[in-house]
Amino acid sequence: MRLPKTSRTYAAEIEELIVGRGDYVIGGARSPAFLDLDNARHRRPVIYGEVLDTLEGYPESAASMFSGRQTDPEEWAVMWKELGADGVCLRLGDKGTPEMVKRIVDRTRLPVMICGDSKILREAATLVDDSVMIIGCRDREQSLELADCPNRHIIVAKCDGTSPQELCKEMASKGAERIMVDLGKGIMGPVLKGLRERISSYRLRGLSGQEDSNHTIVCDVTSSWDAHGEDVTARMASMHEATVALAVMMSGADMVVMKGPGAADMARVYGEELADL
Amino acid sequence: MMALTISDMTDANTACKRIAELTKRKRSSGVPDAICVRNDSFATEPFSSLVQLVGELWDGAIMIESDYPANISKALVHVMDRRPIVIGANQANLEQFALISKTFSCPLCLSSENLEGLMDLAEKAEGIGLEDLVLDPVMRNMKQCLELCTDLKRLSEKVPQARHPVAVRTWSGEYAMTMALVSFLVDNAIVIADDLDADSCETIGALLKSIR
Repeated sequence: MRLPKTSRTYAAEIEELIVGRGDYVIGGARSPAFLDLDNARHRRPVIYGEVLDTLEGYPESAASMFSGRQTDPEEWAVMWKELGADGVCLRLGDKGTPEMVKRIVDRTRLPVMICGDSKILREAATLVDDSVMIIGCRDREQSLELADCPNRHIIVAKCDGTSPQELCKEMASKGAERIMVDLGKGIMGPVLKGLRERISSYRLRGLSGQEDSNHTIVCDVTSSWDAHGEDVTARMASMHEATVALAVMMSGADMVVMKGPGAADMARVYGEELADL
Repeated sequence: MMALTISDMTDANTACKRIAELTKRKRSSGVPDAICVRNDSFATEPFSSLVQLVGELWDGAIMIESDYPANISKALVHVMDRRPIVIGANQANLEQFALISKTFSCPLCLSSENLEGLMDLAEKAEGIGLEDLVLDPVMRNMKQCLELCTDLKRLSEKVPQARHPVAVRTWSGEYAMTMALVSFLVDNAIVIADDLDADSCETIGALLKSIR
């Protein structure tokens, strides 16, 4: 039987962002995720490993996988580099300082994402002027507040269920030059279905050329660990986190923030195989 | 649907334990919800006996797999009221398998390594009067799962023969789990794995509950 063609072409491509010191690229997709049928660009999503400045509330099953180096954020970040992560997501609490961010940027030479209160994020964004960071935002208000951060860092549009197009437009009007879109946290459970739909839909709108829909998508899947009880094994938690990462990557996420090193490694391998690298 | 396999080389005692273990997993995570009995011995008797045992002890869906139509016929007698999916039909033996499938009113899985061949098989099977078909494009890795499941999903909008459910057959271990995950994320596939551990079954079950 002669079969009809099923490949599709798209009017536009997803924006490309250069992060770190210029040696890492995120985005640039020209098809639904990984799909060679539609002439996919052979590029996998990037994986950022999570680092905190305090271990309060951090799951013991995850901490045990960092060989004690999780007690020092700089060492922890270096360990993520040794594990093959593409970047580090640094969550800054009371103990975090802009200088700590700078030291981690310099020591790891990896791209860094920072999350925390607006004051410290702005100070860190001012201090770090030789590496493009991603400024993670906890809510829509913070995305707007930090839209004019100096040094052309990338600002995350935290959509909180509102229109990503409208938020991106508003952020741009306040000075944001480079934006990544966050459409919700990745976690196993009924919310995953809605998140996948939002990511796929945003990606397809971007490929069809709709205005303010071509930004790259970041998805934080570290909350996968919170869905378990304390008695969960590291293996089971890692399998769930890697599965959620796979689900959001296949929907179109360009960057995934992860907690467990085993899960991060699995997600990287999944990305490499699906991107045919 | 997610099936795990029991070989007919397994002795009855071990098979009973395995069915009990799979029943426990099904109740806790929903996975597996099917058992595939495979005719590795190529012999009639052990296959038929194991199918009968599975029919008695397992309350979920059943699949039976053999290259030999005669072995399938003999085994089907024990579980015909359960409408098991019959696996083994290909270009070389379609007529014999189609006859069995029609006689016992069971779904038939068709296998072919290229989509054109698979659509030809489905067209022939439909011509013989079979409606309940499953398509197995013989996927070997997760990349193929993504590409072929997507291709078949799109084809189903244009080609009537592509509208049947897709089967993904895989092996054991974490890679098999990943192939299952990719298949479920792309399409509502029927996945048949040789074996998966309890954690993998739980993970697949959690994903299925999350995305459906």
